[in-house]
Amino acid sequence: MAEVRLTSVGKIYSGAVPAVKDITFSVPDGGFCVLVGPSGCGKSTLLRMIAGLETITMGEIRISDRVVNTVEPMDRDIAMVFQNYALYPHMSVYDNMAYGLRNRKTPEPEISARVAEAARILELEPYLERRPRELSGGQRQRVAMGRAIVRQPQVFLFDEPLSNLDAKLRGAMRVEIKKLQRQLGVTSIYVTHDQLEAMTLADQLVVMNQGVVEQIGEPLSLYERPETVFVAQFIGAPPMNMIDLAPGGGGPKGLDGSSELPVPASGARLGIRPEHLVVDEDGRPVPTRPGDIRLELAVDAVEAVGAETYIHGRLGGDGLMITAREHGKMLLPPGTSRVFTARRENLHLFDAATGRRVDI
Amino acid sequence: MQKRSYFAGRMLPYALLAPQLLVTIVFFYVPAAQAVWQSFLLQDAFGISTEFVWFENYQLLFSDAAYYQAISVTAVFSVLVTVAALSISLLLAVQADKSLRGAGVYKTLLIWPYAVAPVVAGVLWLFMFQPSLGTLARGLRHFGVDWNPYLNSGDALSLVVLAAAWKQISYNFLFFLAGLQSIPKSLIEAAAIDGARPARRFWTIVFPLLSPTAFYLLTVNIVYVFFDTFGIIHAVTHGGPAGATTTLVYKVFNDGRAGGDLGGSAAQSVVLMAIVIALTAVQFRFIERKVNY
Amino acid sequence: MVENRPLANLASHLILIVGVAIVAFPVYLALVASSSDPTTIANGQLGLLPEGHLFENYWKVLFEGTERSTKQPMIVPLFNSLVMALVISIGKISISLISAFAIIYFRFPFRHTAFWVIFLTLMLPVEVRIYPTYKIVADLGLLDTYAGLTIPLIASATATLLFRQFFMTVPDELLEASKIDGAGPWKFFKDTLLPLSMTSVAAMFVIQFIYGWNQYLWPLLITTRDDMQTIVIGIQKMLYVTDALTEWQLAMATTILAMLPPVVVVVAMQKLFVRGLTETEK
Repeated sequence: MAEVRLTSVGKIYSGAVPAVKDITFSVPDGGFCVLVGPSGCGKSTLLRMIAGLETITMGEIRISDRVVNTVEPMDRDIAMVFQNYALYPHMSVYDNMAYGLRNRKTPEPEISARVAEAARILELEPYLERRPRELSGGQRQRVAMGRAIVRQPQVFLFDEPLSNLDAKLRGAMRVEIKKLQRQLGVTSIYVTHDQLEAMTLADQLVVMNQGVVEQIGEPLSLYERPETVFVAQFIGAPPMNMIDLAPGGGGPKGLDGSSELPVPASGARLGIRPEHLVVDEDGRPVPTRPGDIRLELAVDAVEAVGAETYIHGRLGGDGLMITAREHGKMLLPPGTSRVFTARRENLHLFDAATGRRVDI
Repeated sequence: MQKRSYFAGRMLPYALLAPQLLVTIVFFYVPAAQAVWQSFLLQDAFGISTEFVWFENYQLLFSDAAYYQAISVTAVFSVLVTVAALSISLLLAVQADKSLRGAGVYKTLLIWPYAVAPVVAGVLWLFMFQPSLGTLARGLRHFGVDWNPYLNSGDALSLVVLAAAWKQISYNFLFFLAGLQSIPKSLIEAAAIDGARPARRFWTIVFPLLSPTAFYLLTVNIVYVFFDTFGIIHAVTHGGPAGATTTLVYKVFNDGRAGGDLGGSAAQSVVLMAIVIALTAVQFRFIERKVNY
Repeated sequence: MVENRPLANLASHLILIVGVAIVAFPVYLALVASSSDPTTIANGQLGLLPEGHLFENYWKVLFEGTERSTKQPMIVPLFNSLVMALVISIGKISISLISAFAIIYFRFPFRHTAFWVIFLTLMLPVEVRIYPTYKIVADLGLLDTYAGLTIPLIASATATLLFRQFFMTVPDELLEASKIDGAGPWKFFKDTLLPLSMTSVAAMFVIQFIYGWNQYLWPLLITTRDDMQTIVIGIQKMLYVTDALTEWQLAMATTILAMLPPVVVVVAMQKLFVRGLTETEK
């Protein structure tokens, strides 16, 4: 059916550095793949290459076994939702959805049936005669979705479709999109720079940085086992703490236990997620096992948000800023010094030279 | 000036450009090139033989007293019309900008002369100042002014200046008003709080902010006087009396119609071309936005 | 303004009223003259109030023509002016739309050259190339034809620049969405770009209609036959009559007729006109 397969795909703008290079992955039929990365990482370019809006200079892209490198966008059997929605401002909501079908000579009764169905699913029925400018941001977004749905394409492409909405609406639409995609079972590729959106939507997450793929996998496996420093710091909020270790395992002042770690000859970076730092309460030390890491932090600031508390402190009193996340309320007075413990199984170690994961 | 996305197509873009380019080349570039070429040629009286004479036509042109007269007429004409049209329209625009009741009505009542052809403007003013029967000419005579634009150079020039300035007021008014309305009201209010009285506010705040508009209008008005006033002069004075209203453009037209001196006429055209290019280059600062690559 | 001073406001109103009066007076006088009879004007007795010959004068000038000068009924030049203004404005808009479309939405060799060739015509007004252009039109056998009157004037750098400017503001995603929706160049132009450009087109139409209607030098050169004249040329021909008095009441009626259509267009489409003017020229 509609599997999307990319093989060594790359693009070089005339004479300049490659925008994307050597990208290989495939999205199974009905899968929901999210391309995530910071702005300028090439994720939108890659999506537009899949859509046929950008030329492909290397490799090949297949949609359900057909090589589409030189196929026109309209003939790839895809639909796309744009960041700014790209609704035709002079057409009604109905005509916006019907336009693509009319261009493909779909019979008019079928068009109205499909538009009616999409309008029902997206709760757009009262607005079919309106112009896009008479709609709210969320409604426009749904029209853009509707335009994609009525086409019944083999692949949906989403280019940051929620980034123009406010936070609350974004959360609600995220759930809608996920539900809709599951219901329709259409292979989808979704671009975002928002790691939360990426984590919640994806079956398969592709993290990109500077035109290359950093890691591909299920969202939680990326969270639990990031293969590179970049992925480790990009996925998860607040971001993972990173502490530089010398070749022998020596760390900065206030760090204890790092010499037990298999630090390579080039040195290493030790990653600890904030939620994995457990504080010694009331001077009662957390029982440690061999290989656990202990950090002594001078508390700088405490942010209590109700269900949890973020503690920002300096390692060894005046060193690196480290963030810890604790359950519940934990009102530590600033200036006090506390010891935090991280379990060996929760540690991430990366080669300082290559940035790649080192097994502990 | 390029979109991120575009259409593929080898011949289609050329086909789309063809009508415009064809007209442009046949009726703009070819004649312009011919004018330049002819300005270097001298034709004998019977039109049988032509000779390449380099800059002789230009030398002749610039040793011709009548040509210098046309230059000075054009210069005086430009200064008078520009000053009159700009100052009157600025005065009116400043009044209309004071968010008075009925500002919109004034605007409508002031902009329509833009639609009046220069020649029509000329005829309207000629009729008022026609020496024997014009309503205003009669008034002048009543006050003992011996007025006759058919015979008196100064009178003739005044008449075409009045007609030309009258027509240009609406255009300048529109741009001044738009310029004034684009000045943030908060600036004026800040100046008022700083203790500047209205007249001082105008000269220290409003006028400097309006100067790009004024400069743009200055060049537009000069171009207007050079080229668009041809109709006024042709209909009202025929360049007379004794060349007192013969501008450079009118002279090209008139000399060429008399026939004969093709090279001289072409040299005049080329000089005009140089003037337009210079004026356009000055204006370019304002058009730049349109051609930003 | 900041102060609210009744006296200053009154002064402003006065200045504006005087301005409006100066602007309107010549036309009012022409209207009065066109309602007058020849002897009143010839004797220099024209007053400031309309007289009773209005209908008679306009009828005569439209359908019978002057007694002296060209004797041409002005309905014909009026029609010629209309044809000229419409062909020029619609022609300019059409060829400028498609040129701007080509320049913005395609990539091809000599694209920049084509743009500059069109752009530089700003520097070549008809006045600087009068006779060579005349000769080309004569050689093509287009003297005294509508084609000769209009085609040489329909190239337009300003309209092309305006549409180019407008197309640049159309989001790229609209083209991309159209491509995915299966629209080729022509369908995109017709279904999306043109409907979006309608305001610019209308604004351009107002400006170019006036431009075409008010052409003077060009029809003066290109037409010799009285029945090919335009209305503004017709006025000029009425003024200079050998051995006879100008029929001022008819000339003034013609003047009013000549300015009525463009003035009506400007007043009726004031918003579009102002927009067209400020956008094309600035």
